[in-house]
Parts: sequence; C-alpha cells; structure tokens
Amino acid sequence: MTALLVDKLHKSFGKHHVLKDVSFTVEAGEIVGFIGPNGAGKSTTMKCVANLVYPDSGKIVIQGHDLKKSRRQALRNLSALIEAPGLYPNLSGIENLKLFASLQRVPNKQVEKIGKYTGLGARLKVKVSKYSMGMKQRLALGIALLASPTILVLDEPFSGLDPDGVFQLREMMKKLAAEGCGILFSSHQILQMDKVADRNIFIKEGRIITLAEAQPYVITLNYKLAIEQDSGYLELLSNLKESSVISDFQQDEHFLQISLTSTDHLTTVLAELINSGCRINGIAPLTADIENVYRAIYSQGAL
Amino acid sequence: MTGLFLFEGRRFWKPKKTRVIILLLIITLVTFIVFNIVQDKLYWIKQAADLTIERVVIESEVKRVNNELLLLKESMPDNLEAAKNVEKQLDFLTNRRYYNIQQINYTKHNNKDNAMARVELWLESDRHLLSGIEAGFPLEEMGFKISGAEIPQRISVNEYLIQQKVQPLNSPYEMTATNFIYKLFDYPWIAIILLPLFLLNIDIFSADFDGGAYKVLYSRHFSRRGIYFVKFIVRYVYSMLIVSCLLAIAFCLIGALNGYGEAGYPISYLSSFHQLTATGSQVLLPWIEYFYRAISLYLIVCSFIIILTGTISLLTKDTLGTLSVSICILFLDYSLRTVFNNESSIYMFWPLAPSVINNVLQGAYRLSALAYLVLLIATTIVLLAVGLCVIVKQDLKGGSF
Repeated sequence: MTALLVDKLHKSFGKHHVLKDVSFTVEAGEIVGFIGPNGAGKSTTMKCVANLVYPDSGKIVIQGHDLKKSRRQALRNLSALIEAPGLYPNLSGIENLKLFASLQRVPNKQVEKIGKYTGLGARLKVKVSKYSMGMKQRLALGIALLASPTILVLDEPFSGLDPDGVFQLREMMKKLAAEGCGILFSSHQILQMDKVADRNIFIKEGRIITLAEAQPYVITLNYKLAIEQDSGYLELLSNLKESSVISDFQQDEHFLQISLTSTDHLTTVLAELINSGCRINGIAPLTADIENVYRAIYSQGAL
Repeated sequence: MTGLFLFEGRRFWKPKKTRVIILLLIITLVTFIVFNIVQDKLYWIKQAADLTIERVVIESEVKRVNNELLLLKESMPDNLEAAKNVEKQLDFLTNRRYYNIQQINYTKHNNKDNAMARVELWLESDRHLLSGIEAGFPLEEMGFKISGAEIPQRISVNEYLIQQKVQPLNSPYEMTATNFIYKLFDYPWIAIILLPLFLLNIDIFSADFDGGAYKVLYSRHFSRRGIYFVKFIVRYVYSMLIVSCLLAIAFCLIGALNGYGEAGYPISYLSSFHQLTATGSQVLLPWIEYFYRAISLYLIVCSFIIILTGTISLLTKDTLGTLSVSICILFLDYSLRTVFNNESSIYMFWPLAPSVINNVLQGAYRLSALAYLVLLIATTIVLLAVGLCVIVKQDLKGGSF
C-alpha cells in the first residue's frame, strides 16, 4: 500500500518557484531518503506533506486520504519532525512529552516508554531551553513517535545526534519500517542515508530528478573482473584508455578493475580482452557510491 | 477536540509565567487595598486641614466684609441697598463660619454612629454654599475652593443617602467590599484587571512559534480553525477564572473583615444607557444595579483585551513583538489624546477612548454606553475574523530556538 503519494506539487513564495512538479511515493514499510542541497525544496515539500505550507497545486495522498479533501483522516497517522525540533523551551522535557501526549490522548505507559527511548533519563526534568541540540532532537523524535505513526516525515533527523543516537535512530527507523511505517527522511549526512534508506529521491532546484535522469549516475561504470594471472593486457588496457573506452583501470594478482566511460563500452572491453586471450572467470559491477552520485547530480551544469 | 482542550489547558497552567502573574495579581490587589485603607485613614486629616484653611479664609473675609460694611455706613449712610448687599455677604460668611466650626468638630470625632448626622451637616453646608453661588457672591475670589459641578452632585448623593437611609461611607476610599469593586472599575485601578489578562495571553500563539512547537501542533489532524477557537476559549475561560476568582475572593475577604457595604449605595450614572447618543442626565443608581450594568461591560472589555492580545500575538508570531506592538498601541492612544480634543469624532471609533468602565457608564464616551458596547463587540468580532483568516490561509514557517 502506498503510504504517501505526492503528485505534481507546485509551490511559489512570491516570484520564487520553490517546487516544480514534485512527484514521488513512499510505500508502507519503505524508508525513502530525500536528498538535495540547501534550498532544493526538501523542507518545503515536507512542510506541504505536514500541512504547514499549502501547495499552489498538486495532490498529497496519505494512507489513501487526500490531504485537501480529508485532511483529518490524512493527518491522523502522520508524524512530522520538520527542521529544528519544535518544543516549548520554558517547559521541561517530560512536560513537553506529556503536553503533546495529551494532544494525541496517548496513554501514560506510552509516554514512559518514549521517555526511556529518548535516553534523556533525569535530564527529562530539566527545562528544554537548557538542552543541547542533540537532546532536543532526541526529545522531538520521541514526540514524533508518541502516537505510533504509520507515516513518518523526518527532516534532518540525524543532525545534532551523537554516534549512539544516530545508531539508535537508524535501528528505530528500520524497526518502524518493519512494522509497516512508511518513512520519508532527509539528511545532509548522505552516508547515513545510504545505510538506512531503501531508496533515495533526489531533488534539485525544486524539481525531482527522475529515474531516467539519475540513471547515468546511479548505474555503475565500475566493474571488477576475476582473471587469470597475466600482465599482457596492460598494453591493451592502455590503448583502450587512450581511445577513451575506459577512463581508468587497476590490476592486481587475480582481479582487474575497470572504469568505463559509458555503459555501452562494457561489451567492447570484454570482447577485446577475450580476443587477446584473457580468461575471464567472473564479472561483478561495483556499487555506485552515493557520495559520487550526489556529487555528479549536484555538480555545476549536471542535469 | 478533547485532546486539543487538554493540550491548551496544560499549556496554560504549566509555565511558571502563569503562577508568577497570579502572584503579581494578588500582590497588586493587596497593595490597592492597603493604599485605599491608608487614604481612608488620611482622608479626615486632610479634610480637617482643608477646613482649617477655609476657616482662615472665612475669618479674614468676615473681617474684610465687616470693615467694608462699617466704611459704607460711614461714607454713604443713605445707600441702604448697598449696605443690605454687604450685610447679606456678611451673614453668609457668618453662617459659613458656623458650618465650618461644626465640620471641623466632626472631623475630630467622626465615627459610624454619627455618620448620618455628618451627612446631614455636609448637605446643609453644601446647600448653603450653593445658595451663595446662586446669590452671586464671588466665592472663588474670596478664596473658597469650590467646583460648580461638584456641589450639586454631592448634594444629590447626600440627599439620596438620607432619603434611602443608606449608611454612608467613611470616605470615598473606605474599603467596603462594594466600594472595592467600584474603585477597581475606575482609572487607573482598572489596570489591575486588564494587565494580568494581557500578560496571561501575550504568548497565546507566539509561544508556539517561539519554540517551533507549531510544527507539531499544526501538523496534527486538528483543523486550524479548531485550534484557533480552542486556544481562545481555553485562554478566555482560564484567564477570566483567575482574575474573577481572585476578585471574588478579595471581595469576600474584605466583606468579612471590613464589611460588605451597602448594596444600595448611590453611584452616579448617565441615564441614556440604551440610547445611541449620550443625551441623558446624571442619575443615582444603587450600587447593585450599577454593578449589573458594569459587569456586562467588564466581560466585554476583558474579551476585547484577550482577543486583541491574541490577534497581535498571532500576527507578530513573537512574544516580544506582541509586547512591542502593545506598547505602540498605548503610545498611539496617548498621542491621539494629545492631538485631538475631547470633542473629536475620532474617539467614536477608538475602542480605548473611555479607558475605564466607570467613565463609560458615567457618560465619558461621546455616544452612549450601549453604543460603546456595540463598538467593542464589533471590534472584537473583526479582530477574531482577521485572526481566523490569517491562521487558516497562511503558510506556517520559521520559529526555532
């Protein structure tokens, strides 16, 4: 079941067109990373989903309920943590938890459970204004999880968290997803995203990078070939590099690692190697590195 | 919706600010009561001093007029008409001396038992003074501190007290329970009620934005309209409960310790309450009837202050901003009063024009008290509608700490 459907979302602030035809889905039990640099439109999209910002046009459907037509049903199972943690600074951590629990009529047992999950211990009794950023983030996450949501929208959830907190949050996200909760989250820590996300959505200047557009960056150009020990291919590989069929190569005792200039060149390289008498025992694509994909997509002039 | 009510209720009571304001309100009420008790004690001392000064004035005037009469009789023995006029003045001053001596005597031996006799004496004295004014004696030139409007009003109040057999107050400051409420509705003491209401509601919307908590609240399944009205309902009920309960407690405590006072005590009131224009005359109403009229005005004024504060809090989305805007409004009010005279039609549309409940009921607003009620209700509704439009239509952004 589709937990969240965003369809052709447009939003402008004055003359600034922030979201341009943004469309994507998050399935139930799926963790989707929302990637983009500052000002790309991630937070605005998430605010639209959380009903804080009204889109100019487009449709948002949460758990089958149109946000515009049946807002109440749509938002009932959604929890959102947008940008900085939203808390009452002049209240203590536990008072904040209890306050938001009363809003959603969450039983005390759940409040205690979430209180433990935040890991703040005795600090829960301290005023939130005295919290560090990480502590606020933990508390805000706890509040987001109070009502056992089925769709969770998290904007920068890892920011301010210590390594323990990051690990704990990753595990929590995986656990929630296993229970069927759809999670849309953004982060600038893209390595963390890669560790937890089932898939990633890229947004650039308010526009979602389509699968077809991202393909050249996501599909790997790096292959590892298991070969018989022989150094006679060095000349061949150098020639292929000179003729721009491959961009680079490395060879060790049993493996040859090649970087193609295009996916079309794979068959050419394999044919040349076989023709020159190379015995290939196996071939494996090397996974595209998320950092490289990010750099490729958001580098100047790309897409 | 129950969750929303619980949430707002907790949000009202949890912060220390609420408790601090309650404490401040108690302290201010106690200060107000003590101040009036002190003024009450000093009242007859001041009265005695004023009467002693008047005595000196009378004595010197008696001498002067006596000399004038002797001179007149010597220089113009045939001018009987002029001598008769001066004799009348002398007679008037002699009587004033008689009243003055008695009044000074009462200031020294004033108590509840002879209060009615005191009222009778003051009534006679005022009537006598009024007759002097009507006879055309230059009393102000003689040095009497009198105000033309004050004397008839004092006469009518004292006549009412005698006719209705109402126990008079020791002084206008006496802290009986009824007089406590009356004085509280007067300038500047009305601030004791309005300031806590303002402070209790200064962060009604802005607190959500100050800490960014609005992102949680407004992304829940409640409608923004629902949140808006629940906030106002909860704040209105609790703020009014705090202020009204503390006033009621103070009323009862004062009543138990110092007496409740007479429910029939006369209070000046403009009779044209139900008409559009303030063309009626000043009449005296028993306190209880005046109180019924004042209470409706009290409720509307309190609602107006809460809605005004809430709307500013919503528009600025910042508690300090709300404070700044409110100070600007007070400054604007002060500037209007400086720039425009009392007759200016601008005051017909300025909701802060009469400033206190007693003034409205006593005809300070250019139109009638009822017209002022209509103006306040209309302004409150407009403010509510503006706030509702903003909260429902606006994108919610910003706010973090």
